[in-house]
Amino acid sequence: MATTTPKAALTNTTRREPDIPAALLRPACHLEVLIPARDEARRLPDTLVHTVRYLEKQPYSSSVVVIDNGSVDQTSDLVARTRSGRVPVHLTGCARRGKGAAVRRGFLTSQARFVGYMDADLATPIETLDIVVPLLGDFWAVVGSRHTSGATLASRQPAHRAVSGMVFRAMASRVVPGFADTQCGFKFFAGDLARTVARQLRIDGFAFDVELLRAIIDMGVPVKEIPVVWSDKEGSTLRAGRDGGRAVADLLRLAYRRTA
Amino acid sequence: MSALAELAGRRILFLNWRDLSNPAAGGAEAYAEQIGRRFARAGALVTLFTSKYEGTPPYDWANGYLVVREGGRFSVYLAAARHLSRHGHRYDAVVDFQNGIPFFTPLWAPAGAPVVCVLHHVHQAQFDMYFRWPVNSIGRLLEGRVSRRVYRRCPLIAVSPSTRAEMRKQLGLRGPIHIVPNGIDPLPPSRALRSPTPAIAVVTRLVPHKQLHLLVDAVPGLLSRWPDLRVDIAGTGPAREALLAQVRELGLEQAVRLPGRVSDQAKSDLLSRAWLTVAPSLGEGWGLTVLEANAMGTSTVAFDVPGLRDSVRDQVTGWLAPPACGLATALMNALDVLSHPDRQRGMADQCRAWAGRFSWDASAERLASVLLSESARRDRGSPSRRQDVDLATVASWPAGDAREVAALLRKALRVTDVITSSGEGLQVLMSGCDEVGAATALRRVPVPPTGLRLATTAELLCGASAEGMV
Repeated sequence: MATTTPKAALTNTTRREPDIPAALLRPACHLEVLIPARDEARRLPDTLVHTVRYLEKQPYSSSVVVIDNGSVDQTSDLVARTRSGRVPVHLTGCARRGKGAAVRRGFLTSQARFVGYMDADLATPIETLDIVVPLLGDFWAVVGSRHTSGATLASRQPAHRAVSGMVFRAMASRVVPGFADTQCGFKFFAGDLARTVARQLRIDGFAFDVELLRAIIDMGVPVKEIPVVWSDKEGSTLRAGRDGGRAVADLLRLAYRRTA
Repeated sequence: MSALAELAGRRILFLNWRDLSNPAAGGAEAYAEQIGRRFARAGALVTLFTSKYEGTPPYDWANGYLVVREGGRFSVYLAAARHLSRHGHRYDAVVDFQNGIPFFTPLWAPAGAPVVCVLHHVHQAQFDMYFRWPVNSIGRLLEGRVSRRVYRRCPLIAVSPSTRAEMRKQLGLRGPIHIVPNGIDPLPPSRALRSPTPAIAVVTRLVPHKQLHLLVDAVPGLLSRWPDLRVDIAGTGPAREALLAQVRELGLEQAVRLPGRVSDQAKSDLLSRAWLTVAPSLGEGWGLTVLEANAMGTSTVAFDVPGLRDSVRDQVTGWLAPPACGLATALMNALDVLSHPDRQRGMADQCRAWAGRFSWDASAERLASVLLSESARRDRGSPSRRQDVDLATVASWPAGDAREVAALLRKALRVTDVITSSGEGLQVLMSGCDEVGAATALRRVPVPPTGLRLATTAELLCGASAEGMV
């Protein structure tokens, strides 16, 4: 039978990203920095202070957006307490779990000229924007990399994370050849590109970086990979067993979708 | 129609390990009693099953509901299981108050009857303080892993956002957790005026984990800046002797008094005379003493710990100090601010407004709505479209649209959503969804909300218009 079953039709519609009402779009600015956060009440205040202080000194207009990915520790109160004259700090929620879902929600509610995301623990220093922002004039996407020449790992990774990272990189390089590091949480894009691509993305978990890069390569726009300083912080929300398994499954699905 | 009114005629069983007649009864017992009394007043047939205490009759009729007492401190759990398996069919719903050791009601409750479970406090860390191996390990296992399985399908209720966070982090509970805060019992009106000289009053049970010795330690430093400072630490408890000794040792008999147990009238007078109350506790389920002081217009200095970080609104109704930093600095700063009459008056107004937002009527209504939504869910047999996520969104409409919208809203909302209307308009607290989810749920309401944003702690506790009072 060629007709889809009602159940399949239902799953398709629930998977789709819901339409964002115009009232939920943030005002436009030059650069928007997204920070996906889930239970980051301990680390987020410092990150916000650093980021806002840096952005206030820049000549361009900017804003910081915390995307609360279902925190139970009242991350929302922290954001309300951070005030800044020049750089607005927005808060938006994302009920669907996963960094991929949170970043997608951030892209789709943004009207900024350039938009990108970084980790809530500032694993990559915010000063990296000094290099990224000028490059965004020539490239549609500028992605940080911990594994190209010039990158520094400020503190050593634990062995199990280094090894699982190597395996993941080997697999990811089949899907997105040419990238030394797909997983670094410091990526900035032209706003229009991010918004277009976000509608095609499906992966909620950590493999979403790979899907995102793949979609951008398919668009055929110029992309730049830059070396970054990166330090492994304690208290990562990544759990190797469950999240790793899901990421690998997502990768295989992605590779399959490419060949099919 | 309110959720409470819909409970009329339903037979509801409350399970709590103690009742108010037990001399060791505390805040958790008051909570069950206040809610039970209001359910009964709304027409529900409430039975409270609890443990026996020497001298108490096995059956009792109090505040409009039946009290059944069976079993002792530990055997009450077995007795409750027996009661439910024998007489469970006589109840339409069960409210299970968990106090460290769960009743495991879902195992014994009649099929189809909704069960909701209320948690005041997570006890994982306390098992080691009170019990030795193996009892402590068994307690942890029962509260943690076992109850996670048994209560998997029940809606849970936390009394504060901090308790909910502990339930997620320490107990690993994954289902929906609703928030139903404590109400507040009005104290008799005060006969005293605010003291012209700095005064600090604390009325609480004097137990070690409240850490009031830190307050006494801070007094000599404060006296050098405020020589006429008076500190009253009222209440009794195991830590009182040590505090008295500490006061003598530091030679503070003039400045610090420990009057012991005080009447409600004296409590009201003490709290309204004072500039400040202090809560240097290690952690609470909720800060009842903070709210009692707030009702008298008295602000609080507390440590930024679970429970207190919900009941004290930093810079609005008091000050939250990180537990690592000294209490003395925080007190010094607070007294400085309060020595300006305008600031003191402003904060007093905020405190009264904040305390005024809590009521047992509102809490009973919220608990009733959780019970109703669970019973509707069971009848419908399908899960809700909103997700089990701890985000909540506040949707607001300006005053002009309020009347029109209010009539249309109920169909788009869940029973558990809290509607509040104030001079500024109509606001709805929608739990379990982000802004986009809320917009989707409200798309059938012809007047779209003018504001959609994530809820803060204050709003989670007492409805959406809490933020507007700043």
